[in-house]
Parts: sequence; structure tokens; C-alpha cells
Amino acid sequence: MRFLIALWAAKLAARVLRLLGRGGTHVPGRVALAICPDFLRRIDKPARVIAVTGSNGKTTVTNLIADALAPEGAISNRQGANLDAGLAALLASTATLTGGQRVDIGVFEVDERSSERVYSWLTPEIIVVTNLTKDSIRRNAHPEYMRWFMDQALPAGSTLVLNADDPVSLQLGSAGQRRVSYGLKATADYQVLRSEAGQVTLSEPAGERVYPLLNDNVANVYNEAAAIAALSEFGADNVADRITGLTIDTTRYSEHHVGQLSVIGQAAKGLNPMAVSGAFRYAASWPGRKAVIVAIDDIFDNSGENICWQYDTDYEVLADAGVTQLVFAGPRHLDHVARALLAGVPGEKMSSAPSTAQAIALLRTDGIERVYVLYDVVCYSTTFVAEVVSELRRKLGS
Amino acid sequence: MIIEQLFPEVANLYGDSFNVRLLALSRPAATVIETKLGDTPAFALRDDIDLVYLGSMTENGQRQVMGALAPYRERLVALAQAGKRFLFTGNALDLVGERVTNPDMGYEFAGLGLFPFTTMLRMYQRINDKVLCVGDGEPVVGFKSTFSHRTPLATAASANWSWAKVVRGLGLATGLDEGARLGGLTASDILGPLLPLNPPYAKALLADLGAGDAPLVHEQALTRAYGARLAEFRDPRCWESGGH
Repeated sequence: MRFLIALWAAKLAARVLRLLGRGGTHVPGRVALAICPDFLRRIDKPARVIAVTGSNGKTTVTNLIADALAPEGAISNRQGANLDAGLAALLASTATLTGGQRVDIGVFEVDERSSERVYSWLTPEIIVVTNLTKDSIRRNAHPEYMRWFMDQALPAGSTLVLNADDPVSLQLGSAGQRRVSYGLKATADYQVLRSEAGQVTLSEPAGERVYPLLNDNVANVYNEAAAIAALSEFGADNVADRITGLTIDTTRYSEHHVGQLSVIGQAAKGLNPMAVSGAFRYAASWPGRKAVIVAIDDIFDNSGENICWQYDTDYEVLADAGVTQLVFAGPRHLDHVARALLAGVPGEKMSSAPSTAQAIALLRTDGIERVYVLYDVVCYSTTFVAEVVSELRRKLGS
Repeated sequence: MIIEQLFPEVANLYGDSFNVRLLALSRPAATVIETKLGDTPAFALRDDIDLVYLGSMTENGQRQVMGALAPYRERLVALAQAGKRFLFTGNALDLVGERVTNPDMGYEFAGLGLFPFTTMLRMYQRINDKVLCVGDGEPVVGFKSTFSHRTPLATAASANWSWAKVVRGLGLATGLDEGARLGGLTASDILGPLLPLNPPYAKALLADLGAGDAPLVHEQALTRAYGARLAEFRDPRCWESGGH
């Protein structure tokens, strides 16, 4: 009875939130778990589940797979509500009033630190592990630790879809477990042969196949290959058709134009050296003259954010002469400046401010063709990108 | 000035190499020797090393490094007692205790035994904290994230060999003392870029190494960031909530 009360309370909470026009995708799940702590074990799950986990790219891969399986009515915890409460809210939303499940396919993003709990009640048909790289020092320690931690929890019955180019996560899985891989390495079961001219070509067990290239950032080439491998292993038909027309979620990547100036919004997960290094390299590698504005601090941490990760992040690429201006925004702006100076970034092209508004005001538009806006999705979101675009429009009078 | 960085391929987990890099950038004439696993440490072969540095590592890395250092224990102790500078940061501190046990991963090994504490690695109980402490000079600030749970030490026991007094935050165990010191050897489980985050301590160390009192590279920017962090750590509100 307690389970049913929890389910009804979650459904009621979701309805109230909708009526109030509020977000909080995890709130109904929190309500359910507060009433019935083993709610996730008791509630009916979709018959077929793909789980996506890993340090970087899991939200993008989850969304691509879920969009590709939308014709079959797949449900998904989009936007990264990847802890117990998010999953509980999702399952409650599609359950009948008696706890039965109305959908057949679930695509679930799973926080890797939740592996132990989630896989105690869920055995996905497929688990995609995008990579295990350095992430939050507090939560994830180091990649070798995360591999050990996940290996205690991954169900032996799940097929693992692993990144062939990540030596740490590639070792996941128990003896006899089905494992397939994707990536650039020649040993990958789904090998990316080339990505150019709007197309990505993969060598697959079934032969060579061509797909539309969804985004030219190398991280997103990996994300797309992961989704293709998972869909193929899942038995989805016409994967190329399903992928065609999909886009990388705008919370992760967006393009804008202000007069002749291009503005690129690129997510860069703060506290995560690999994600931020990737975003820095992406911005620096574009051959023209550009300004880069960065807002990646953990603004919800009032306890003195551990900034050691900055010293494990590739600020050195920002010394590139093509980066003509570098602006840091956020409470740790002085730390970013000190780190960038030690990386060899000239002080005269750097500025910083504690608030986003102050930092955006420091942006200059003379002599540049692009502005890269690198932001933490959780702490700053696309609102920061919109603020930059708005200020540039004001400055340029367009 | 000659700095030896021990095993950077495994002991640079959280940006620790910037401790050496800051010193080298500040004194461009300095020579940095990077000793790899399998190499004989330079401090064991020659007498002109001014500073030996060892940073944070994985659990597997700890076992490898311990295997590499154990044969040179007596030499290390003799040099440290004679005042030669050694700086160990992060979980390199575990290795200077008597023993490291890891029941979750199923192993244990003997440490260098320089200090009377043991470490138990609890792989499901990570400790996250920070510390504000005072040693011989200006306050030192830093961060801690570790699986290392050390044997409870009576304050009086560690007071004889600790490196600094804790003003706020987590010390060596749960007591009032931070780190360990034996002659010229200092070990602290403050993570990562201890010296860039603490320019006064970095300058004092350079002076102690006979490198004079010329400024650090980018000292002004480093000092601004240090000043802001010191003010933050002195604010009681900073200790009221946890982070990610």
C-alpha cells in the first residue's frame, strides 16, 4: 500500500508542478522515495532498457538514443536528471495508477556514482559507458577508482558498449560478459573511419555505413558513434534514417550570429578537467581570431570550491595567438587568471570579474570573428550564452 | 638549484606537478630531474639534490611507488635528518607512516615507517574537507579529498612531529595537527597545487633552498588569489555547507 501511496503522491506532485509552471523534474521522485524508499525496486520498468553512463557525454548520448527511438515511444530522463529521484519521477510519470508500466523502452542516463544503487534494481539490456576520465575530485576521486567502483556494480547480463579509445572504461565488465566497442581505434567494433563534409563513416560488424555528422566537435563525433553502436546492438532498424535530422541538445551546444560575429555556446562541465580541456581545445583550434569567455565555477558551493582540478586542466591551449581575448567570470576568477598565467597565457589579453554581468561587459568585439562562450550547464546554463549574445547585440547595435 | 620530482607518471593525480613547475618557472636556472618508476632515485645516487618532491597518486600507484622507494628508506631518512628538503603532498603522506591497509581492495603493505601512524583506505568513505593551518610562517590553505583514514592519534603524540597547527578544518587525523615533519622532510595530505595556492610558503621554501628572496613568477596574481582564499577560509560561513 505504501508503494501505491508513493506513486499517487508522485503523480500528484508532478501535476501540481505542471499547473504552477515549475520545473524540478526530480521533485515527484523525491516525494515517492520519501514515502517508499524501495519505490524503484517495486515499480514496473520498461521491458527493454538502455542505460548510458560515464564521465562525459552521457546526456548527449542519452538524448540521441532516446530521440532515435522516439517512434517506438521510448521514455528518457532527458537533461541529466540522472540520480534516483530523477529516475523515480520518470518511471512514476509513465506508470499506471496500479504501478504497471505503459511504455516498452526506456533510455536512462545513470550517474556513474549511482551505479551500485541503480543496478541493484535494474538490469539494462545495454549499458553504454562513454568514458571514465578525471571528474569531480570530491565525488569521483580518479578514473581507476571509478572503474573499480563500477565493476562491483555492473550487471553481468547487460551488454556493455564501451569506448575503444578510453583505456580505463574499456576494461570494464566481467568474464564472459558481452562487450562491444566504438571509437577511432582499429580494434573498435564500430570504428569511426572518417568524419568530414557533413558525414561520418563507420566500419561496423555489418559493413561500412555512412551517417550524417551531427556536430564537428570531436567529443560529439564520439557521442554520435556511441549512440549508433548502442542502437545497432539494440536491434534498431535503419539507424542512419533515425539519426538524420537529430541535433545536439542546445543546452550543450548552440550557434548564434550578431552582425558579422559568430557566437558559439559550448558546455564545459566545471570540476571536470577532461570536459573543460576539451572545450578549451575546441575553442582554441578554430583557426580565426576569437574571444573566449569562461564561466565554469561551482556557484552552489559556498564552502570554498576545491580548485585543484584547474591545475589538471589544459589552460595551455588558451595561450594560442588566435585567442585574442580571454575573460573569466565567477567567484574563482582570480584562480583562473593565476592558472592561465602559469600556462603561459599573456596577462594583457586576460581579464576577469566575479559576476557574469561584469565579465560580459569586459568583452571587446574589435578584430575578432568569433566569441566562444564556455559555460557549466548546471551552474550557468544557456542563460549565460543568451546574456553574452544580448550584450554583444547592444554593443554592436544590431 | 636541482629539484627531483619522483615518479611524475603516477604521482601527478591532481595537478601536483605544478608545485615543481612553479619553482622551476620562478628560478629558470633550476634543473628538474624527473625520476620514473624503474629508475634509481637521484637522491640515492648524488648529494646535490636540493629538493625531492612526491605528489598524489592512485591506490595502485601507491603500491608501485612504495615498492620503488622502500630500498632507499635508510638513505631517505639520513638525508631528511641531515636537513635535505623533501616535500610529499596528497596521499604520498600515507607512505611515510607505518602501514597502509585497504580491506575493500584486499591488500596491505608496510610504509616507510618515518612516523607512528597507520592508514586505512576506505574506498566507500571518501573524506572531503579543506584546511587552514599555520606552521613556521604565513598561514597555509588547501584542500583534502581522500580515502585515507588514519589511526586516531592523540594530539600530544603527533604534536612532536607535525608540520603545522590546524586553525580550521581537517588535519592529519581528526586532531589539531597538520602533516608531518622529520628534519628537512615535510609531508602533508593537502592536495595538488600546494605551492601555487600558497605563495608565501612557496617563497619561504625557495629561500630555504638557498634561492634567495626574489619574487615568484606571477607572484602578484598568485597572491591575490591566495588572499581571497585566506579571507574566504577565515569566514565562518565557508564552513557551514558542503560542496560537490
